[in-house]
Amino acid sequence: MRLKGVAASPGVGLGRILLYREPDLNFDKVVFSGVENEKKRLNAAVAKFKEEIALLAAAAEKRSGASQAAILTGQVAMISDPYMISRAEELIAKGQVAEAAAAEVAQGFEDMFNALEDEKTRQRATDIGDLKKRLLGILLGVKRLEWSEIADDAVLVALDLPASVISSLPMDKVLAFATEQGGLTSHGAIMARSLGVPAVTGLIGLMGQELKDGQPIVVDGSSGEIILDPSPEESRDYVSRRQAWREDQASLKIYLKKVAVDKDGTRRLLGSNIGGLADARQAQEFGSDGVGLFRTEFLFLDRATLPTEEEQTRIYAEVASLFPESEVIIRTLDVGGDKQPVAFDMAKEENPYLGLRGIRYYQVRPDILKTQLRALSRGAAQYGNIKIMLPLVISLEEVTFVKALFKEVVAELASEGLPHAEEMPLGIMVETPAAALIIDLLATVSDFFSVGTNDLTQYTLIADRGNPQVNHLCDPFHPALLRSLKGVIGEARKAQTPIGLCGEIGGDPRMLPLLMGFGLSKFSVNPASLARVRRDMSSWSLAEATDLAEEILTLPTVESVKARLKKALDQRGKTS
Amino acid sequence: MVSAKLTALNETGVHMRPAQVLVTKLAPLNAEVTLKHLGKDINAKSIMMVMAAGIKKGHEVEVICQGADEVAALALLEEFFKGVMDDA
Repeated sequence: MRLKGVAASPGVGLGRILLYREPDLNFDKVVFSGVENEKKRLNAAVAKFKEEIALLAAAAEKRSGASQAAILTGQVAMISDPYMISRAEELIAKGQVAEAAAAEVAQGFEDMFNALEDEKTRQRATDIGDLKKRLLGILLGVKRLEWSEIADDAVLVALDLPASVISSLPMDKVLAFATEQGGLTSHGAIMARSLGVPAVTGLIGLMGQELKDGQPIVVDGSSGEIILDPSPEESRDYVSRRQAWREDQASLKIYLKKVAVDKDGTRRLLGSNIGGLADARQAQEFGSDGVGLFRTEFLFLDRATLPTEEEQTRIYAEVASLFPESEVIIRTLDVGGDKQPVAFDMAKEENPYLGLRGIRYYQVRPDILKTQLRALSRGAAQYGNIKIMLPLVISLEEVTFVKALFKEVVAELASEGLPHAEEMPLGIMVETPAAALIIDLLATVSDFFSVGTNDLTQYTLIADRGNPQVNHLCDPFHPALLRSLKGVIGEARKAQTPIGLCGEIGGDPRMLPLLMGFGLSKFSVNPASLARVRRDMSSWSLAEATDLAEEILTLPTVESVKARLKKALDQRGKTS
Repeated sequence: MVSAKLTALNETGVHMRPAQVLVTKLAPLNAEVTLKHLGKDINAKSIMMVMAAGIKKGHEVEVICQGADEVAALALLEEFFKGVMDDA
């Protein structure tokens, strides 16, 4: 039985299911045992909590360094808060059981932190939630999953995996994750990538399946697929795929610290696509050439209020500070389509992908863009490597509109006496057929371009990539797309406007030589793909890539294009 | 009772780590320490309250210490808001 989800962390894992279920922390049946005794229970639980965390922190430090351990020791500092304990004791004195008192006090703090404006402090709410669960578990004597009892071939299957669970995982034991909830940028997915553990998230209906501990499972974090009870043939196939993946991982290690060059030794730029600070730090660790795409809408999702100017300024500056030698391209808010943040209260549309999306939304809410532009200008005053990029452009007028707003913003900042950048490089994302066709005209108002292949593909082929009935048509190897890419890259170069490509497909081993052959020298991929793309890039000379690209352009169908590319890669695999 | 109006010079504001240092140093003292900030009274011995107070660089905070070692407590807060304990 196969299920398809989100390919959250690449690699292949095959083993046996270890079900992770949130423990039952209901305390309705606990009977009050007297004020003194309940206080004693509470204090004993707190002491046990500290002991447990100390052990976990020591193990986490050994495994993955000090930062993981710091998250845990922070929880000790919080639970040692005398104010918190005395509040709980007051509730006990009023006749509440220790569980109810602990839960109420912790919940109060969780709510308080959730309401804070400052993002970094607000994240502490998650820690308090974890703290509450652990403390309740101790009080109720609920058995936790003890990692020492885990079999060596465990594949963790869960509704969702909170950070506290992942950070306490014995990574040498867990082969892979599969979760029903979460996406590409959920906390668990980011951690899985940084730990190098294959993971598939967003498996709708997973927990509704009949699952039991020890059941055989395959997790393919590269394709986003899982197989429950694989057949003997499937198992054999995936055993060899896992073997190949592990050998591949080992051979990639040397590319983690290298810079991106092709076979001729020509330096090429390989940046990262990020959604926030966590990704940015990972990109820096893997030696990324800056940021090719910062999707700022992730700062706006999953929250009830808009991020403030201060908060945005701090985040943009912090990301920029990580890459002093490289450009950091920050794309302004791209909402609409499938992204409808709660804080925006967007009107329902018949065809959201053809509606008020990307740059069009600024006409309706210029205030939101202005706040963002203010933050960008203030961030750029501290770090000169920040560049602005506009989403879903179809015309010059849209760019001029934003430029006028930027001028207003600069004048405001000047009159308020706030440090800001007077001028900033402003580029556009080439992701509509319209932009691709008038790229020479757009070059007159744009400092740089970046091709967004996901949208360019779905708009060129008029196939919604989220619609399972037609998403197989959304294939970037369609000759129409290849011609479009060649044209766009060629026109931009003719206009002497720098052009890059920030679609994930740019790092695909089949697409990479084509783009190199079309004349592209700037790419941007997920941080976890950097090493692999560097390796693939180093295997192509410009002449080889150009020859292949020219040949591919003569082919009439997706099928023939892919078949030819497969042959080309297979042949190289044999000779290298 | 002793009190003073202090300006927070802590580079990144009073986040987890500085708050942790502050409450650890205050814990052995018996004085009660209250921070008045943005219209709220904050118990400076509570790491939760201190973190949630959202004290940032440049903010002015009124510090009130009451108890036998109140002078020592105030001196500690003066040091703290200079930011010298941030990396401890």
